[in-house]
Amino acid sequence: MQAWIPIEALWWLGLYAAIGVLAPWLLRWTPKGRSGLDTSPRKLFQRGELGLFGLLLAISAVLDLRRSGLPTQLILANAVILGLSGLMAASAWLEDYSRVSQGLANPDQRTWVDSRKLLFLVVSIAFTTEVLLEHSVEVWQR
Amino acid sequence: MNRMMSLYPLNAVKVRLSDSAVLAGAVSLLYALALIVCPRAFPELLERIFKWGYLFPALAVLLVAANEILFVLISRRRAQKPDLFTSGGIALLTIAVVFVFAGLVYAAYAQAQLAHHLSSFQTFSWVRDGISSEELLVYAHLAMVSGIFLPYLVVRGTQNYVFDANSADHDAKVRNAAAGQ
Repeated sequence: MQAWIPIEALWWLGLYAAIGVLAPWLLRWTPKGRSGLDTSPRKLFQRGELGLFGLLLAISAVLDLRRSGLPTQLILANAVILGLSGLMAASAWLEDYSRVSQGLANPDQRTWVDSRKLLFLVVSIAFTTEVLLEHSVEVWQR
Repeated sequence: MNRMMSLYPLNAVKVRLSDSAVLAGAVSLLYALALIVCPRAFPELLERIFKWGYLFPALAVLLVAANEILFVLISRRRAQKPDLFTSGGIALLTIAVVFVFAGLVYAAYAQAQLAHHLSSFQTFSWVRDGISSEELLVYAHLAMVSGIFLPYLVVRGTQNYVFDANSADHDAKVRNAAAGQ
């Protein structure tokens, strides 16, 4: 099976996870953290950052599709659907950013729920695409 | 257009993309699970249904039913009345998306058959005489996911347009009333 996520992408993901998740989580154990600093995922990703992660995942799956050797029209159709779902996931963050920069109210709860659900969609499509690619490789090798 | 909208004000149905994303994601995961659990039986079943000619009509019926149930659930959760115009639009868009993918499959099938007939004059024995079950699997997956996700994407886009048009109409009425006074 080909590499699903390129090594460079893994580096950046690891860095993002370390800075974005681990560091705030460690803060919980400091005396100041115990005094009520909220480091739950909902609070950390309240501005729709999960949507950006969805876009990155969609791009990785599209890159993997390009190397798969499937017929061109099949790759194109799959890439369009993956790209569209990735862009919609990223739009959760973009919408929040635009509204906040214009000084409009944007409920945190809505952005968090939208980005989380759209990330679920991207992960599902990317996972199924990888299963289908794996299945195709097995059949062709038989 | 504005006069039409002032005569028949449209009801902007509040739908969020994330509502359909969960259903589309769950369907996609179930599809992957079926392929992992039955790696031979599932593709064979799909291929057999495709050869009988029922695959895409059956997909269209199932997806329309799923989308309509989802629309009623969304409307109920947001305490709004599901209107016939939007539900009809969702059904039409779903059927259109499924049949676009059916067209792609039949085009690939025709291309493979043509290549097979042309190769019969040569010595290329490896050219297939139809679409492979792997290609059919990918197309069916895409048709299912986009049949749920794309109609709601269009509804979400038009909802913004209807909301803007209704707001503009309301502003114009307020301005006319102020000018009349």
